[in-house]
Amino acid sequence: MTVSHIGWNRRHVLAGGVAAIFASPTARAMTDYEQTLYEAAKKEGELTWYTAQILGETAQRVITAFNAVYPGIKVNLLRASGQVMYQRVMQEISMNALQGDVIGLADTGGQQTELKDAGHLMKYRPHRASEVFPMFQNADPDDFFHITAATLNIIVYNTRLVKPGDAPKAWSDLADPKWKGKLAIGHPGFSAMSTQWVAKMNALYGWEFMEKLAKNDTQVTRNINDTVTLVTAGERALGTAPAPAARPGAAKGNPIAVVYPSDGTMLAATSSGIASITKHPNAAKLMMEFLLSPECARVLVNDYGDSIRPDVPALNGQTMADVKLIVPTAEESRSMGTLIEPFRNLFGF
Amino acid sequence: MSHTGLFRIRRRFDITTLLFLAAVATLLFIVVAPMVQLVLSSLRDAKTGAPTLANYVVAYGTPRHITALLNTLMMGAGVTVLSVVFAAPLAWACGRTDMPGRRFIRLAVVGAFVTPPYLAAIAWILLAGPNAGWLNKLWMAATGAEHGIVNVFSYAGIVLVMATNLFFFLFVFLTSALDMVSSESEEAANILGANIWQTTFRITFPLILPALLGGMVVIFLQSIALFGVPALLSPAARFPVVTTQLWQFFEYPLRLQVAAAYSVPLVAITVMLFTLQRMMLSRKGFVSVTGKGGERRPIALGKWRWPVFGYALFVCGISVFLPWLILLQTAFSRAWGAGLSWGNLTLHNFAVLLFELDMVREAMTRSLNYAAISAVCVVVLALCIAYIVVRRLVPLTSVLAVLCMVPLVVPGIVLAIGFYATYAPPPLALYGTAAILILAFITRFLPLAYTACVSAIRNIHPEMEEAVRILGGNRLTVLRKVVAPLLKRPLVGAWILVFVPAVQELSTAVFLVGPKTRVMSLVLLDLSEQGNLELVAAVSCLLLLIILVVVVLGFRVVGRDFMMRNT
Repeated sequence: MTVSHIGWNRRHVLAGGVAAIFASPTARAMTDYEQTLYEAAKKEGELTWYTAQILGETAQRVITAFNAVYPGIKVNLLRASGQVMYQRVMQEISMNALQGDVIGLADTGGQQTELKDAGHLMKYRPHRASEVFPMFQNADPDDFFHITAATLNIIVYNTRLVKPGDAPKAWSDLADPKWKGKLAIGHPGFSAMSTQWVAKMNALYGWEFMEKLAKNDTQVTRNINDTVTLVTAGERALGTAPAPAARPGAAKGNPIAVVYPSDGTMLAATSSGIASITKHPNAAKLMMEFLLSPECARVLVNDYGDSIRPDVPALNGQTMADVKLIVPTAEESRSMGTLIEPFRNLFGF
Repeated sequence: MSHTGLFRIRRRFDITTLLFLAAVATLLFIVVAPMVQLVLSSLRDAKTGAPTLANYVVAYGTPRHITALLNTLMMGAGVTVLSVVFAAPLAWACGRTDMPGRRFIRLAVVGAFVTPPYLAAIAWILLAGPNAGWLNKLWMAATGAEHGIVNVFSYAGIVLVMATNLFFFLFVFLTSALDMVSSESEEAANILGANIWQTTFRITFPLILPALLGGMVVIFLQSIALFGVPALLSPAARFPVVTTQLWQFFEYPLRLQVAAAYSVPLVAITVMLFTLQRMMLSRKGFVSVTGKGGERRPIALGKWRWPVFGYALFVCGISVFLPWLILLQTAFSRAWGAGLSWGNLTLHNFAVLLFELDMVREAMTRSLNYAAISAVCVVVLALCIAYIVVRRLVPLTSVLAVLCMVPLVVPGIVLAIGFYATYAPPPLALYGTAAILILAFITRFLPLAYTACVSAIRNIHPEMEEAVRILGGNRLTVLRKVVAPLLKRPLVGAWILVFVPAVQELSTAVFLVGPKTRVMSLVLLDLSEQGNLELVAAVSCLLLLIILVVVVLGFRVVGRDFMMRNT
């Protein structure tokens, strides 16, 4: 698949909804291991879940689904943009007061590795770890963190302002002067997904690409999801956006469409780990199991996301195997942090 | 120690002294310690704790950081000037003229007070986004122009949004000052042949000058301390300011010491401004404004009645009616980009926030609780201190008075950094607790409550209290049996004056909240980042509704005056 305009019509939504009803999570019997873990978790009573991987509303629905399978465990949620979350985690660690039990970051590995190396994560291999696509398995060979979500970064455009034929087909098209004053991108200082995007674009097309965007009067938003708001309103004609933020607008009838770039859809495979100082180890383990479960995957795809499981396709029927993906290399991941300051100087914020 | 000595000490340590000591201890804890810690950490190496100036070098060694400081000063100046343009004519028209609809305008201005600044910013993004804002769409439809005329993502946009929100304070200052000016001097000028404008500018204006200057300083301080508006508008406007820069220092790796170093000069600037204003005022004697005197007759505007009303309506329109309208419209929309139509109308957003999003409901309850508790604490504290100061019960009361006013010159976000540096780490380790937020709120709103309490206590004649003392009651009895009952109304007024901004408070909360203490302002900011503006608008409407209910109840209990006086 190279470029495609995938329609997210009401039928898809309906189908997803019906699927969700039939796949009611309470219907499933627990495995012995799950049962034991659940009983122990119930005694702990609660856990705090930090996530930068999915939107707040979706996270709320994940909790609802979690409680449908595992009633009696209160999940406290903290949702923030990727870099903001990382900032908070590090801040809390520096005061020896990390409050999250399960830490889901939006970074593709560097940040979790740092946490692991500094001894802030607990080793745990979820029983479900091998149920996901092989490319999402063994992110950490030592099992201190596991990939729990995968988000696609795509191009979104306003169909009233851009005719489908004129829409950009690749990331490299975005620097075209014809988009002067029309493009919106996320700020790498706030959004981890944008950090990855900037790093990847820098690797593919050099820093000149960013300079061209800056000269092109590109609008920078704090959170990458914000670009969808701007494009939907017609404030900007096109933007880079995570799929779960861009797809629902189109389904709701907003004048937007998405492009899977021919130079590769950006994949952000993001991981979660358990805090080493957790007071709720069993509840945290249970949450890790749940994040890898089909029940959780269904919540994510019903909110227009993608799943890391081969058996839960997205609402449009595609799985991760059907999309041409690009991911930051290990070296690019390491370069990420160093690009934020030059970006700030370039864009004046 | 002899018996007589002990006796003397016991006598000196009566209840007043205890109260005084408690007040001093509290002020040391919530005002002095965070400020001292702020300065100390700015001079300390992050790792070794050794004294250093390196933090200042990092803080001011990058051109972008200096730009942010200059931008902030420019923004503060712009907001102050625009607020005067908004507030001065309105206050004058409402207070001194026969403009129609004066009551209505006064009420509408209160609307600006109950609207949190970040909501105003969200509303103005919807109104004045350069391409899709409603005002720009209307303009383009009406004129056929290709581009809109207003751009909220700009210096002017940021200044406008802040001014529409902050001019309320100046309006209050000016209204109370105008209420104190008697018509006699104005009439004298009239008799001597001056017309309305000459009278206004040569007689009334000089009399209200202190209030004007005081109000301007407050607006300046408030505007440079705002975090929400720049957070929403600055990135797109490419207009970094101090508060957004401070936020960046809190990014990983956290540079608390640099943040502290970056804020110290800002506090120095505000202290300077404050002192300057005090000096300018102390040189003049404004005897005429010290009491309500003489007959007050409104100035007849004649043919200017309606144009002046039109201007007042315009100001209220852009500061209250339009933002509220656009938020309401968005809250009931399926997709706000789709425009006005029956098909686009939905209750879904409210259903989601009421029945699905626990975090919104929890945050709402939390915000209300924290604000209510902080408001009670701060009013009690302010009452005790104000009583000690006004009645001069102990020597050195002026120290107490100054300490109470210190938080006024410290931007909320800087205060938060001070609190963070002092109370987040062990031994107290208050990070992530409700206590640290409430303590910070108490400090932040102490000047407001203190000012209200001082003016309220001044209105009580000491004779009644002396009667209690003569009959054998101690100071505490006096406070409980005489002062508090007499002050019931002003105290409830003060409580509301603190409660409303505390429910909305963002800049103090931004560094102090933990996962279990997330308040409404933070949740709204998070939601706004996620792009679901329909939901954001629905939450905003609910928040506005709750604040409005409290204010209306306040009006019922204490009368409408508390908003317009005492402050």
